[in-house]
Amino acid sequence: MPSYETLLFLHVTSAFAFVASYVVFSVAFLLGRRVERAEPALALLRIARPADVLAWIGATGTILFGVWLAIKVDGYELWDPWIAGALGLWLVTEEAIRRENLLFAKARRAARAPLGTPETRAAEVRTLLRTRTANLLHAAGGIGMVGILALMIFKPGAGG
Amino acid sequence: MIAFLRPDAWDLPVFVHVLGAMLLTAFVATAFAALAAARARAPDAILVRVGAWSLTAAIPSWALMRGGAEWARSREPFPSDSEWIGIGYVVADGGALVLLLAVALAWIAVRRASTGAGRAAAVLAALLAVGYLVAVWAMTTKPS
Repeated sequence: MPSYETLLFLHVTSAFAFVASYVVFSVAFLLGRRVERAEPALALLRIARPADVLAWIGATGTILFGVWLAIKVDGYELWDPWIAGALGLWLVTEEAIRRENLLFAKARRAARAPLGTPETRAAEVRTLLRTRTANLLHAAGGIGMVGILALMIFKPGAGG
Repeated sequence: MIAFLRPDAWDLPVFVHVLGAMLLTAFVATAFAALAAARARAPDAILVRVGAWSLTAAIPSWALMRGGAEWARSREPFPSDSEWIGIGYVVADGGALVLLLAVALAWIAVRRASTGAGRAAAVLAALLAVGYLVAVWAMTTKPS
């Protein structure tokens, strides 16, 4: 049975990975909206792929080791307001990032499309990444992550 | 159990410290991903720029992390010879020098289109990421 310290290390490391993936996505998202040609767009979207793996590891690790910690530590319960709130925000964040990834996949396909000039393909990428949905998904991911961190540190409603 | 037992007055400094540390690690990881993915061809110049800007953005994140650490220490009665605090200082301050070197190399790679400088910056970013992992281990497990 892993110790409290080991579980906390794995939980926090996963959180760092989750945030790192979001920053990589942010770069691809923000710069992908401004590219003038398809090739730089593809180069940018290329770094979103390893970030997808990092996001999966980070999201899975935070929830797995976080729930494990909540069960293991006396005084923590899964229904404590700060833990339940973090679980809710995790679901929102995870789903937002998953959907944003689908958008990146669509943008990659648009950038690689056999028809059209490099300029028109880049315009398609820009259009995909500038939609209201894309903005909302990206904002939800970021706000969710900061919210989870705040709940983990300030622990509102915790007895200790 | 430190996190569990922490008084409320420590929360804001710890929040600033952890947020800074997360952003620092994230920008370094982004720089590594971009610089390692960049190949010696014109369209990938954007990745070298991303690497340079990400490493540059890591500097204010480092200041946030380091400032938050000092702020937290001013409120937390940990002995100054704690091994885990020592590891944190070594990684933070030693890492700052490596970070500055990586920033310089990345911008050389941008200005001179130098693949070698970009690769060297990527290696330094990877080293920093490993150092930050060690720091996270020290901060969470608090050896001795």
